Amino acid sequence: MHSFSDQSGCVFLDVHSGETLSVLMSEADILKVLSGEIILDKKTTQNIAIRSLIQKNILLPLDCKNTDV
Amino acid sequence: MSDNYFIDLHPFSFSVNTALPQVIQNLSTIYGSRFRKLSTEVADYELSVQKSSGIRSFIKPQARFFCDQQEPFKPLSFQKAYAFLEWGMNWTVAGNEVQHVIIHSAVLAKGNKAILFPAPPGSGKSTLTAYLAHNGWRLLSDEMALIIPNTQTVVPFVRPICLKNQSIDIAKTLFPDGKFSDIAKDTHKGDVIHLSPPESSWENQTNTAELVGVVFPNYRANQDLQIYQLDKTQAFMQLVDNAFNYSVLRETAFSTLTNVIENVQTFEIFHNDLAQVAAFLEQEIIDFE
Repeated sequence: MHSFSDQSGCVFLDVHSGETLSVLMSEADILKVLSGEIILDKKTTQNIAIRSLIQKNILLPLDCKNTDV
Repeated sequence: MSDNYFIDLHPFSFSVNTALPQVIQNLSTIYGSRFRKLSTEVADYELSVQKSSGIRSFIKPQARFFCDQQEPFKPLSFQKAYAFLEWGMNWTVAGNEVQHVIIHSAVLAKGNKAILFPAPPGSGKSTLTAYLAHNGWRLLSDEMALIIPNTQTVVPFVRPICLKNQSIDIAKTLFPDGKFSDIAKDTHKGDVIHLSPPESSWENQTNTAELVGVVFPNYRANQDLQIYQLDKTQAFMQLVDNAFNYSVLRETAFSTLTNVIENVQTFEIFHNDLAQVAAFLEQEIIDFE
């Protein structure tokens, strides 16, 4: 993951498939979404993008994190 | 009778086996002293362009392209043999080179400062490239930017500028003393011609440059210059779309391109005046502190 300094968003590389995705949100806002602090409208492109990242196992919601690791 | 020739480019060299006078003549016109008979040199890539044999050598003759003795493409009509070789050279490097992150993009520099111009066919990229190369800029490449991984350094790969359709007449008017190849008619891109860059670009073909800008050009006949600053995420994703070996280099390419985008200015421009574009590039990117 790389978060751009102009806060235009973050880009992600799936190291297994080589697929690259972008989310037009800052790293801080992405963390708030993952922690449940921000609930995104289901129809927004940000929501679709983050769901896509979660489905690809690039991002994990924080309550799914394995704390034993 | 086929002969072996050597094209001495930086950072790659090619041997070309051919007996086709049109190919030899065009290579000589475009590459000048960098094209010669092969003697003791060892080339990075071994290419060949031949006329089809048998009945095809008499009826609708065709040209065949080989790279390291493999034939990656179907033959094209004989009249397109030189353009076929140029495209084959591009394909050879794009498909085999992994020491650099390669972007499908023109690269031009003023002094040590370089700008990338990634753009799809029809955007006017090559016409802009030809104009800048003949007006004080140094051409590093018309087709592919070779970026040293995890740096902003571009390695020149000076090659002819590929002009298509209406751009051919424009270029011949703008650069009456230019060294042009023969026209390859009715290719999948339309009519195509190759223009050798000015000698100053060839002379500096071993001098790297540092990226300071990425500009996505769009020619619109009825549109005055419009400039849009791209946010970094957009610019990054567009660069990825234009990268030849991104899926091979993966993390190296990802870190290289994020580093580039973090450290350069990024614009999309719409224009119908090449001089206005040149002035914008110099004032807002090259001279920008």
